[in-house]
Amino acid sequence: MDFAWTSEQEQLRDTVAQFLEARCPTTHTREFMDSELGYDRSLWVALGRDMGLGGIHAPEEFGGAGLSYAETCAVLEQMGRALYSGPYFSSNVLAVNALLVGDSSQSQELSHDVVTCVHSSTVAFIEKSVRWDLKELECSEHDGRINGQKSFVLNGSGTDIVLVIARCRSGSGFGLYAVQEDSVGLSNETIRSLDLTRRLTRITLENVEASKLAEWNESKHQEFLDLALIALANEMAGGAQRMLDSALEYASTRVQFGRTIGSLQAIKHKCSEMLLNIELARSAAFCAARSVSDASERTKMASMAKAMASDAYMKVAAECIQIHGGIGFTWENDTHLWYRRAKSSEVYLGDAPYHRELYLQASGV
Amino acid sequence: MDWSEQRVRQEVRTWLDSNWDPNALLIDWRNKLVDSGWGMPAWPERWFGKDIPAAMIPIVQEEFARVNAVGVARTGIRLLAAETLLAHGTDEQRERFLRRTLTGEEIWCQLFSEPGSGSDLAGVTTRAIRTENEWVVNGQKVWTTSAHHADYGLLLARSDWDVPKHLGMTYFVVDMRQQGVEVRPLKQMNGHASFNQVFFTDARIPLNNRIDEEGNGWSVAMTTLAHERKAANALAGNTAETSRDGTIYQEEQRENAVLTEPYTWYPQRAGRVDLAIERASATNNLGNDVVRQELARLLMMAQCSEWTAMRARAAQEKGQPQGPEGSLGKLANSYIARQALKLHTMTTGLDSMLDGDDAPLNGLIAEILLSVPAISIAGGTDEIQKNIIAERVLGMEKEPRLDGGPFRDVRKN
Repeated sequence: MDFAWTSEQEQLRDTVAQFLEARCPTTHTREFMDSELGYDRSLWVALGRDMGLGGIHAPEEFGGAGLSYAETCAVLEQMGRALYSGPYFSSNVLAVNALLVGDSSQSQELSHDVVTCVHSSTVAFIEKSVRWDLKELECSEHDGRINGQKSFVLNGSGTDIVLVIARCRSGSGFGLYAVQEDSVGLSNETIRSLDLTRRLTRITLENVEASKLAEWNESKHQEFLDLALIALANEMAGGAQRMLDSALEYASTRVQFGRTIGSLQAIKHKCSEMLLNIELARSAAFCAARSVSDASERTKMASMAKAMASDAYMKVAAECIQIHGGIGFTWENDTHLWYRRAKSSEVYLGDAPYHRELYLQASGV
Repeated sequence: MDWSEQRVRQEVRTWLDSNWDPNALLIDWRNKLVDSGWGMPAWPERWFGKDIPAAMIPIVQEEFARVNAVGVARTGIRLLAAETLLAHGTDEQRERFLRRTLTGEEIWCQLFSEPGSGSDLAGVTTRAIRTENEWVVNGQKVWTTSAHHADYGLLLARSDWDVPKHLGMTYFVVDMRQQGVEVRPLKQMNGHASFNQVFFTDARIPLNNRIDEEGNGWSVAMTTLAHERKAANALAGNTAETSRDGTIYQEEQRENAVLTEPYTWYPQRAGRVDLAIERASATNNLGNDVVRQELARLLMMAQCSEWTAMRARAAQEKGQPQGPEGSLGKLANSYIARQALKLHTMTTGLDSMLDGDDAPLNGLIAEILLSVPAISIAGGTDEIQKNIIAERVLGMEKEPRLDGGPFRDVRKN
C-alpha cells in the first residue's frame, strides 16, 4: 500500500477544497437547508458534471473517470470538511456503488446518467426495522412490482431514480431494482432529521413498477456496505478536521484573563488530543480507501475505519462546542451543524461498538 | 571525493572482503574499522569517516549485513557522545575521545535530568564553578542509565546564575571514575533498577573538558537530544543475531548484554499488545462482549498508530511537507499502553493481585501492570508532549513564562 498521497490526488483534493470553500460557505448551506429540496441542485451538477466528480471510481464503461476509490474518498473528505449538503454521497457514491456492484448491462446503462448528474439517485436498503442486513429484508418484488417500505433513505425526496434492494418473489434471492420517483404507488415522506444538511426519507411502495437491474446477494450486499462505510469514514475524517480547525481558530482569537484561551494548557491539551484522535481515524480511513479491491481485507478495514471515525468525529465535535464556550451551543454558531452530522454519521450503518465487534469477527477473533 | 552509489558499494565491499574476519579480536577489528572510515561513513575523513552523503549510508549497511560484519560500538549513549563531540568538541577533544568511544573501550552516560528539573531541563541547578585550573562540580543528577558502567559522562551544569536560565549552562565531559562522583541505583516501582542517581561532591573537571563555549551548554545539549531522537527512531530492526559463526560475535554479545540489560522491561512498559488476544483466549474471555470491545479498541489503536507513522514516513520520503503525524507517536504509545493495561487487568481478573512466580506468566502480567505508568512520563511526559504538539504543530500561542530574568531570581524547587 502507498502511504502517501500521489501528486494527482493532492491536486484533486486541493481543487475540490478550494471550490467548496468558495461556493459552499455555511451561509449557503443554511440558506438551502431550509429549502424544499434541502440542497442546491446547481452546485451538485457543477461538482458532479462540470468538475467531472460524478463517477470518479466508476470505470469508463459505466461512464466514470476510471480512477480508484481513494480519489473518491479524497473528494468526500473535503465534502465532509465543508459540510456539503447535496446528494453526492447518496447519488454519486451509494447509487453508483450499487450499480457497480450490481454490474449488469442495465446497471451500466443507468450509471451514465447518474455519473453525469442527469439523474439524481439514491439507494433504498434500510427498512423500518432499522436494520440493513439482507436477511431481514421485507420489501419484495413480484411480477415486476415492489411492495414494502424503506426508511433512512438519504436524500430520498426529489431524487429522480430510487435504487431499491428487495426480495424476489418471482424467483429466489434478491435483486437491485430501479424505480422512478414519480411512479404510481410510490409515496415518500421527508423524516425530520437531526442532521439538517442530509435529508432522510421514508419511502412506501405499493405495487410500484420496478425494473430489475441486477441480481443481488449476501456478498454483493457486503461489498456495497463496506464501500459505503469506507466512503463515510473518509467524509467523517474531513468533518472532524474542520471541527479542530474551527476550535483552533476560535482559541487563537478569544481573549480571557488578558490572554488568548489557546495559550492555556487546558485548551492546548484538548486540541492535541483532538488531533491524535483525528489522525488515527484518518489513517484507518486512508488505508481502508486503498484496500477495497481485496475482499478479504475490505470488511475488516471498513469496520475499523467506521469505528475509529465514529468516535473521533463525535469527540472533536463535542470538544469544539466546549472550546467555543457559550457561543458554541447557540443556533447562530455553525458548530452544531457539524455536530449534527457527526451524531447522525456516528450511528448510520452502525456505531463504534457495533463495528468493533464486526472488526474482531472479520479478523477471525 | 565524489561518491556515487556504485562507487560506495564497490569500495566498502572490497574493503570488507580483504579485512573482515569473524574470528578477529573485537578490539582489533574495531580499530581497523575506525581507521578505515567505514564505521562512520558519513563523518568527515579527518575524523574516522568517509565523507559520503548520508543518503548512501544504507548501502554501507547492506554491505556490512551481507557478510554479517560487526560495526562500531552502538549500545548505550556512545554515539550521542561521539556525535556531540564531533559537532561541538575541539580537535584535541575529538582526538582524545572519539576513537575509544567508537571502538567500545569507553562507556558513556548522560547527566542531564535532575530531581528538580525534569520536564524543564533548562532549570538544572548542579553547579560548576571554575577555579584557577579546573572546574568543581556539586549537585545531583537522576535517571542516568548505565552510570555505574560509565567511564565518562556528558554533563549539563549551571555555571552562571546571573543570566537568564538558558544562557547560564555549560557542557562538560566528566570523568565518572573519581572520588567526587557517587553512583547509586534508583529502584523503580516495578522492582527493576535501570537508572541511577549520580551525586557530585566537589567532583573535578579539567579545563580542557569543557565542550563548546562557557554558557553555550543548552545548545550543545540540544545536539545530543536531537541525536537521541534520531537514534530512537532508528532503533527498530537493529536486533543482534545469535546464530552467527565466529568468536567476534560472542564478544560483541557480551558487550551488548551489559548496556542493554536496563531495557529488558521496556516491552512491558509499552503494554505488550502482542499478548492481548492470546491472554483473552487463555482466560476464556473471547466470548465476553465487554472484553471484546476493549480488545478491538486496543488492536485498532495500535494498528492506526502504526499506519500514522507510516504515513508520516511516506510523506517525508516524497518530500511532502511534514504533517502532524510525526509528532503523535509518543502520545499515541501512552494511550495504547494504558488501553493494554486495562485489557490485561480485565482478562487477568483477580490474578492481577499476584506478583512474581505466583502471578500469570511468571509475573510478566504483573510487570506490565507495574511498568505502564512510566511510559507517559519517561522521555517527556504526555502533558509536555501535548504542549509541544499544540505549539509546534497546531501553532497555538505559547504559554506566558514566569522564568525570565537572572536565573538566581527564578522560582525553583
